[in-house]
Amino acid sequence: MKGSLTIVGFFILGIIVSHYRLVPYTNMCSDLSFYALCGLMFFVGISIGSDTTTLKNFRQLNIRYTLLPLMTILGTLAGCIIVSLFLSNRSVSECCAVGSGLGYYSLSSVIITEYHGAELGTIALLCNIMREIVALLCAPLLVKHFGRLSPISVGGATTMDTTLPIITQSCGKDFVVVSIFHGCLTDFSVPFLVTLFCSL
Amino acid sequence: MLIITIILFMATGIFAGYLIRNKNIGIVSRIVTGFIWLLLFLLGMEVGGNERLIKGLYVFGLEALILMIAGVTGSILASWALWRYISKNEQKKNNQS
Repeated sequence: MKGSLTIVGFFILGIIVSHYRLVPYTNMCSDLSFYALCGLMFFVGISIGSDTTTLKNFRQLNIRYTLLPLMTILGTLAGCIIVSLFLSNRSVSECCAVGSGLGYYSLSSVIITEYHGAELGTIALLCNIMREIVALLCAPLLVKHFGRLSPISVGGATTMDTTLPIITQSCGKDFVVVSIFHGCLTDFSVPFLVTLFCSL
Repeated sequence: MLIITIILFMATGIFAGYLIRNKNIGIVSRIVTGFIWLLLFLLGMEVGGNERLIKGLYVFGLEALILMIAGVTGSILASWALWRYISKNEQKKNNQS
């Protein structure tokens, strides 16, 4: 819990610093975050490779875990369909288009802006960035109450990059493969799903 | 193609980690934590510097929050169902053997 609070602290600090232009957000910052991600993955790799029991556990993983991307997509869409009945000014397909961003906020908001305009695009941007933040902050809590697959499912399309280290920490190294597989599949399905629901 | 670069970095890390396996490397987890802090700080900077996001938050924040909660709740329940199904199956298998 303390670890999660520190993470939120850094996130909020970033918002304040950039919003009040103490340090402006430039291209250099997005380059820096890519390099930081590469560095992070390298060190996550070291911690996996140096642990010989992890490699053994990979082979014992249940093949049924490959169903997880499907569960993530169906669960998210079911939730969006139900909630669209209560949002009178949004159609079912609009809600599904926003939801099927699966945390991939940059891509989904661009596609939705193209089809439905900036308003729904902004909602998609906000909704999916919130999803990523929830995945980052709630992973330990989710494991405790809903099993080790739930943080991966909530992470959506981000589970092979930004949320992977948190998932590794809270679900255990055995689930790194599940997380990467899940991230790969959902990542590729985002453009198709969003376009599909936009054109309905 | 960025994804491939990231996976390559991870693969190199796994290989490097295998070379120094079974040695005490407590510093690695501290480096990982440091990188997570840096990434979250930069994500915050991206959000804070995006005028469209900050303005949109006041107007569409609630709608986005409702949709996020709906999607997240749905996926939690779906993954929980799969988790319980797999756990039950593995228990059965263990009891048989």
